[in-house]
Formats: sequence, C-alpha cells, structure tokens
Amino acid sequence: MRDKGGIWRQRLRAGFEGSRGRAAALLGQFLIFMMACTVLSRALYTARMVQVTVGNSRSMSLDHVVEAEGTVLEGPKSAVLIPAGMRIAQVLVREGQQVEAGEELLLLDCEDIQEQLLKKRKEEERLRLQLEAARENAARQAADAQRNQTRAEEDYNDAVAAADSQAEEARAAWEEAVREREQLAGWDSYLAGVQQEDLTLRQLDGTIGRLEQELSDLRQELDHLQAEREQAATGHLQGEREQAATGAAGESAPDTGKDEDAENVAAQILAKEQELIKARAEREQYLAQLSQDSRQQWEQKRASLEETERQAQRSYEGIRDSGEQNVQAASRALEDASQKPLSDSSLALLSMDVEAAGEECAALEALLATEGRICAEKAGQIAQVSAENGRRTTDEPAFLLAAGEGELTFQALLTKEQSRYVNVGDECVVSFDSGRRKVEGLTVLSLTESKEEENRYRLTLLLPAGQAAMGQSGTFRLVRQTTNYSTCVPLEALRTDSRQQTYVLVLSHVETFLGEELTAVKRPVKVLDKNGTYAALEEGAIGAEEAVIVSADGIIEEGDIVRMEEP
Amino acid sequence: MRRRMKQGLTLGGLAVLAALVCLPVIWVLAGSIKSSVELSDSLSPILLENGGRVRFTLWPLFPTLRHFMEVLLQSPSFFVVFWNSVRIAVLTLGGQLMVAVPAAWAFARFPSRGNGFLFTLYTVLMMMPFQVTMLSSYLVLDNLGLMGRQAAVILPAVFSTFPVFLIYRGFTEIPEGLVEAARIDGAGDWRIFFHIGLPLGSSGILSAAVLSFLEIWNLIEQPLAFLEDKALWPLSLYLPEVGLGQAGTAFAASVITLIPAVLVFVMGQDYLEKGIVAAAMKE
Repeated sequence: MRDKGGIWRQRLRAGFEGSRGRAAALLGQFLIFMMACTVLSRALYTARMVQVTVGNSRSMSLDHVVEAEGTVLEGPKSAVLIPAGMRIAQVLVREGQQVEAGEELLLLDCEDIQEQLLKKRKEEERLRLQLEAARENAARQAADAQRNQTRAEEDYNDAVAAADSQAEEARAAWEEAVREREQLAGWDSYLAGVQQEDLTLRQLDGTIGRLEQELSDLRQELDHLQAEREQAATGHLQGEREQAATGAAGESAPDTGKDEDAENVAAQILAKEQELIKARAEREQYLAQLSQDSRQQWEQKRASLEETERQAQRSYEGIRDSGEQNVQAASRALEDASQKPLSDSSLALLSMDVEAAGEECAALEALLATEGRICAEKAGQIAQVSAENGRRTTDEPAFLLAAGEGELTFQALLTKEQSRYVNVGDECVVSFDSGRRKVEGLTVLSLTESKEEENRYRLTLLLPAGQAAMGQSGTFRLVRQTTNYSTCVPLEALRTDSRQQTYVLVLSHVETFLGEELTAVKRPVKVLDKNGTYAALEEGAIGAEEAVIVSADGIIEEGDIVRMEEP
Repeated sequence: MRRRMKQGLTLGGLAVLAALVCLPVIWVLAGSIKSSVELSDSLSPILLENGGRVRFTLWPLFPTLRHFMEVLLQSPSFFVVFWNSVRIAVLTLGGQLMVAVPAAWAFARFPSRGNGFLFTLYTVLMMMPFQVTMLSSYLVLDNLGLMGRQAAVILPAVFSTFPVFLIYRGFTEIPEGLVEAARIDGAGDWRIFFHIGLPLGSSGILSAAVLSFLEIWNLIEQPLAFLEDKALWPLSLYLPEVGLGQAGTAFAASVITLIPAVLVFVMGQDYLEKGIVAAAMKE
C-alpha cells in the first residue's frame, strides 16, 4: 500500500523534527514580528513627520497700506503781516468777524507813512553815496596794486641781471688767477730755466768745457808721444838684435827727446787737471748759491699767485652771495606785490543795504498809494486781532485769519515705518463712522516730525467743508504700490536664525533608505521690502521652480525630513 | 578517574576557546542593552578620537531596551533594508536551487570530457575573489541594463559556482546501482532526478543552501558596487551608515541582524555536519 504522505512528505516531516522544527518556527515568528514592526515604525515615523505647506516665489509689486487713526481739528490760520513801525489810524474789524477777499482790515496814518518815506529815501541816498565812494576807493587800490606789482617785476629782473653779470666777472678773474698759478712751473723746471739763462754759469760751463778739451788734447798728445817712444824703442832693440845676429856694431843710441816731450805733456796734463778740478768746484759752489737764491724767488712767486687766487675766489663767492640776496629780496618784493588783497565784503553789504532801503521805500510808496488801507488777501474769519488804534505795528501778525468757512484739517500720527510710504501730495482716503462713510480724493498737506512724541510723524490734510465735525475720529488710509520685484514670497516663509540672519526653508529631494524624501534646506536671503503679506527678496535668492516652506505644523530645522500637508 | 579528568580538561579548554570565539557576539549583546551614557564613556577613544584604549565591560550598569525600541519602532529605514536582505536571500536561494541542483546532477551523473573541463572551469571561477571579476561583471550588467537594480546582485549570485560544487559532492555519494535499478524499472532521467537524486542528495543541497544564505545575508561588495540607490541596499550596508554617536542603536541592529542567520544555521546545522563528514570520508 502506498504511503499517503509520499517520500516528500516524509522527508519534510523528518526535516522539521526537533531543534530544526523549533528554529523554523522561531524564524517564522520572527519574520511575522518584523512585518508588524515594519508597519508600526512606518506609522510612527509618518506621524512624527512635520507637515508643511509650500509656495513658489512670484514676481509682483508690493502694496503698502498705511492706516492710522486721527482726529478732525480746526482749519489752518494765515497771518496778516504789516510792515513794522507804522502808526495805526483805525482798526476796522473785530475777532470772529467774517471778511471777504479785498475787504479793509485797518487804516494806517498817511502822514506818518509820508514821514517815514522821506526818512527812508534820505537813508537810501546816503547809502548810495557811500557805495559810490567805496567803489572808487576800491578801483584806486586796485590800480596802485597793479603799479606796485609791475615795479617789483622790473626790480626783480634787474637784480637777476646784475647778479649774473657781476658773478660772471668775478668768476673770470678767479679762473685767471687759477690759470696763472697753474702756469707757474715746478721747482725743477724753474731751476733749469734759471740755470739756462744765468750768464755766469754759462761762462763757468764754457771754461770747464775748454779745460776738458785741452786736457783731452794733451792726453792724446801724450799717448801719441808714448806710442812713438815705444816704437822707437822697439826699433832700436830690433836693430841691436840684428846687429847681434850679424855681429855689426850699433850705429846710434835711443832717442831721448821723445821722453822729455812726454814728461812735459804729462806735467801739462796734471796742471790742466788741477785747473779743471778747480773750475768744477767753482761751478758747483756757484750753482749751489744760484739754486738757493732761485728757490727763494720761486717760493715767493708761488705764494703770491696762491694769495691772488684765494682773493679772487673770495671775491667771486662774495659777489655771488650778494647777488643771490639781492635777487631773493627782489623776489619777495614781487611776491608781496602780486598777493591778492584781502577780501572785503563791505561793497556787497552796502549794495544790499541800498537795495533793502529801496524796497522799504517802495513798500511805503505802495502803502501811500493805497492811502494806508490794509485789506484781506483771502476770505476767512478773523481769529485774532493784535492791532490797536494809535499804536505802531510790530513784527508780529496784526491779524490771524482762519481758513474758509467750514474747512477743517484731519491730523494723524504715523510711525517711522509708515511715514516711509507717505509723501506730501499723495492721494488718500479718510473714513468716518467706523468705515461707513468715506471721503476720497484727499491729498496729504504736510508730514512733519512730531515734537511731542519721539519717532512719530504728524500727518495733516485738509477736509472739504461739510465732510466732518470738529473733534470727530476717523481712519486715514493710503495705498502705495512699489515697483515690480522678481522674487516675492509669503511673509510667513521668512525665518531668523540665532545670528539674526534672515533665511527661508526650501524643499529639496534627498535619497534615503526609505527612497526619495523631502527635506528642508536653509537658504539665506536678503529682504528688499515687505508688507503685511509678502516679502520681496533679492533677485536670484530663490529659483522660480523652488518650493518655499510657508508653514509647518511643527518645528522644523534645516535637514529635517518633512512631508506635504494633506489637502 | 584519570579519564574523567582528561575529559574535564579537554572540555574546559574547548570552553575557553569557544568563549574567546564568541566574545565579539557577547560584546554586541551586552552593548545593545547598555545605556547611551555608558557606551559614550567606554567608546570615547573611538568616538572622540582623544587617544587611549577602549574600556568595554560585559555587564551593563544601567541596562535598557531603549535601543531596541529605537530600531524596531523609530527606524523605518532599518526595515527597508531588512526586507531588501530577505528579498535578495530568498530570490537568490530559489534561483540557485533551480540552476545549481540540475547542474550538479549533470556533473555528477553524466561524466564526459566536456563536463570535466567545465567542472574544472567552475572550480577556477569559484576561487576567484570578487575584486577580480568586478569590472567584467559591471560591464556585463551595464550592457544588460541591470545596473542600479537588485537583479544586478541576485542574478550573478543565482549562477554562482559554489553551490554547484557543494551539491555535486552530495550527488556523487548516491550509489550507481540504485540508479541502474531505477532505470531497469523503467524510470527516466527526470524521474530518477526527482525521486532518487533530490531526496538522497538533500543533505548536500541543504548545506549549500545554508552556506549560501549566510553568504548572501552578509553580502557587502556586490551591493556597494552595483546599487547606487540606498533604498535597495541590504542590511550589511545599513549598519556602517549608523553614526558612531548612536552606538547603542548600532548594537541593537546588529543583534536583530544576527537572529535570522542564527536560526537558519540551527535549521541546517545537521546537514552541514553531514556534508562536511561526507566530504572528509573516503569512498
């Protein structure tokens, strides 16, 4: 009967018996446990992951909305000014009175105006004469200065020429003295020249020469005599030998005359030599004396030439220094003469005084022409009267005239940040009654720094009549649109790190063990401008395709893994 | 008495040797339940590179299972690489059974000159380290379009020569007479292979499977060379990615990585022993 399990089932059963079976069971349980942990860990990981919302950068312009609460106040006042010092004949209006443009406000005393005009004209004339005299003096001073300068230039040129010529002459004399000193020969040459020209010495040299010649002649004669004697002696001997040989008798004795001549000549030679020695000694003696005398003369001459050279040099240097001093003095005089005169504003001041006096005269004449009538330039209400009958006018306004009937001002305080976006003349809107009623088409009248509050600016604008009541509160609103920025992101995307540097977090893909995930990458940026919703960043800070993290449901730092928010 | 003493001494010596061999595993187990403070303190020469020697104690002062909780519940990436390792191991083992077993049967039961040459070639290829064939493997896989996919690791392992070599030894033990008898009874080649070859050669097959599993479970070079995407990496490449500052997590992950290998080894221990014995015995 065939086994139901078959060989494979038996094998399988046998294979998982004992420890093998337990190990297999454990392995199976382990794998199931790991599957469960896989799901659980992934769920926990996803639950912990921060969800973010992103946005892309846009190219847009920013709207800066400036809103501020303010109050309606009374309208602006204008001052009615009258020249000071006028006597008031009569004040024609009172406080609170409504006046029209051109209506008379007060009358001035015409006689007083006349008197003042006369005084002013005299003063004007006096100032004019003073001005003319000052102008003449100034012209004369200018001419004098020009003449002095010309003379100084001529003096300078003359000084330069004289210094040059004198120096040149002194230099030539010096060079001549140097040349003469150099031309003086050295001692040996001088002595040789003296010796050559001295007659006594020449005579002595002649005598010595003659004696030497005579001595030479005598020696020659002696040699000749000696030669003859020897020749004679030799001949005699020869003859005797021949005689001896032949046996003949000698015929003659040797000649002794030659011997006597030789002795005479020898004596003459000796005397001549002595005479020569004596002549030479005499010459040497004379030469020594001559040399001594010549040395003295030579040194004297040399000293004289050197002294002459030194004097010439000193003279040259003295003349040169003197010339330089003269030139320097002339140069300074020229500088002084060329200097511009000190600035003098008295002419200009006098001219201004003349003009001012003329204007005052014109004003007084205008007042006379209107018979002293002061009229209102525009319609309004007399807010304040400072003028009194019989008194003289002062620098303060005689009247304060309030704006047209019903015209009020709206004032609000702006912060420094807000004031950057508001300029005088900008169009704006003011709303009253909690925004239910709006007054449009208004323009900013003024924007000044507040004296009462630091870093605040007072905004003022005119409200047309009938738009609001004095003391009513309203809301100022102005919208300013900036230029187009290429990179704008939602304001919530901006973050600041511990070093106060502004940055945004940009989504980036990163490969991890879990596959491709999203991570936050920090990107430092520079904010050019921002309003309540958007911020304009420097161009190129963020790419147009990059997703910027705008908000997150938890704290995220650079490098954190995030996921997009569920819609 | 003397015999008992001798046995005792032998046992003692073997125990000491076994303890020394097991010391790294014991350290891993101890480190996995130590607190982070203890680990930082004892591993500071490595973590902070401030010189000195590492002081590692076996007994934790403040034992904790926190690291296991971190690995099992707070590290989903660990499970990604774990299942990658399981996938690679299962597919590779399955492929090896499909390919290596018939190949070994052919080498064992159909000897010829061509077979002998091929087997020699197999043996030579088996001895070559990965570094030698890495470049040629890279080029072939790139041409096949498999680079960056797990198939680049699985396919070369499927056609590995080592299982063929091991299973071949088991098939050669089957008596020829048994096969002849089956043939006489009318069994064809495939029937002989499935009903006689596989059952009788199962010890060799299973020992090859166990060794292959252990090899595949610890693969490092092939995944590192052929897999660029971290999401496809196996466990063996995940552990080095854990920072030194998370030493406890690394120890815990190592313990969990060890468990399947130990269990598979226990399952196949008998077959491994039989295979080693069969190889040592002479016919």
